[in-house]
Amino acid sequence: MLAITILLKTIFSLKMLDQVVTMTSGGPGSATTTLPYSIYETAFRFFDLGYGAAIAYLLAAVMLILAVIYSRMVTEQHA
Amino acid sequence: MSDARRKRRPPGTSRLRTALIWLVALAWLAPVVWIFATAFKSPRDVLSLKPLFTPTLHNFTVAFNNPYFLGDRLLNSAIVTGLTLLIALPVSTAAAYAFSRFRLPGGAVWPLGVLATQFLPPVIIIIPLFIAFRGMGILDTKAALVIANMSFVVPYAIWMIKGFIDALPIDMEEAAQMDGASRLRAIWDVVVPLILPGIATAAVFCFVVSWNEFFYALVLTRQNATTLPVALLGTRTDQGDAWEVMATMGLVIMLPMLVIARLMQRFFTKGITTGGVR
Repeated sequence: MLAITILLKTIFSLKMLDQVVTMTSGGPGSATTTLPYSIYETAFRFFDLGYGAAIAYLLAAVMLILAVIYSRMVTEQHA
Repeated sequence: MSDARRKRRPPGTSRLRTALIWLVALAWLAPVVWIFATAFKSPRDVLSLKPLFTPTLHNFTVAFNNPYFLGDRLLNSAIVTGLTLLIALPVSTAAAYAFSRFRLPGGAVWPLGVLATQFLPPVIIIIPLFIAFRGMGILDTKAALVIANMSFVVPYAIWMIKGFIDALPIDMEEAAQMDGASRLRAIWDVVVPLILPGIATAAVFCFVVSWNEFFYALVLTRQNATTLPVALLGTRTDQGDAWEVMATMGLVIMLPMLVIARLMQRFFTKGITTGGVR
């Protein structure tokens, strides 16, 4: 159960974006530029949608791996 | 019953428990109280820590006029949230019923697939949505926001309602069908009333997440369809952050949720299934 909670929290934290947009805008410098914020900045601040989508693939790949691990864990627990 | 339980515990536990609960509640409530207070402060009092200040309604006047137009933003938020609920709940109920009652080829893959979409961060989903909406020319409209909201409201609502339908014995609707009701009629007259608490839970959840939804609204709207959370960001200006206006808006955003939480609480405790099965 603890492992599942940690994993879920990791996934949610990786998605975290609202706080960066509202509070720091990725700054100071690039100290709080998380991967989601970097995608947002590239796609919707600099309007390079293609480059933004390319970075999004990276994030999606990480998410996919975590999601697969998560679903394995959940189905194991039910079995 | 409660007396017997109390006696088994070592003395003082209950008081300690109460104290701890209050401590946690205070930690949670402090920022809310702070927003309440700041909403009525004049700009001069905002950064002072004095507990006493002369309350003013000036911030509300500021918030509802140029350049914040809180009234318009409120209306936008209300329409977007209302439409989202109106579409999401029937769709989710129907989908949840299908996932719960029908044997689909692939089995549990479909409901799990629906849930899996929630692992994708909104920032990824927003890029194709943005391009599609730009192509359709519906950027900065409420319709775009409603469609975007569906992407995260419907999956959760399906799972929430599915749990309630799974727990419902199939015998009840079979009995209705035995008496000549069509399947749709059995769903509407037997299943829906019994899972109403589930639908209500899903409705509250959908309301809260689409009311608070920030990121899609930030990207998809510019000025016409801006919702409340995005309007909050507008208080951060080049002249500095207008904390008192921000707090006023925060208050307006919070109020309907407090009201709904209060109303739904009563609804839940009533327990509509009581006596239905058992």
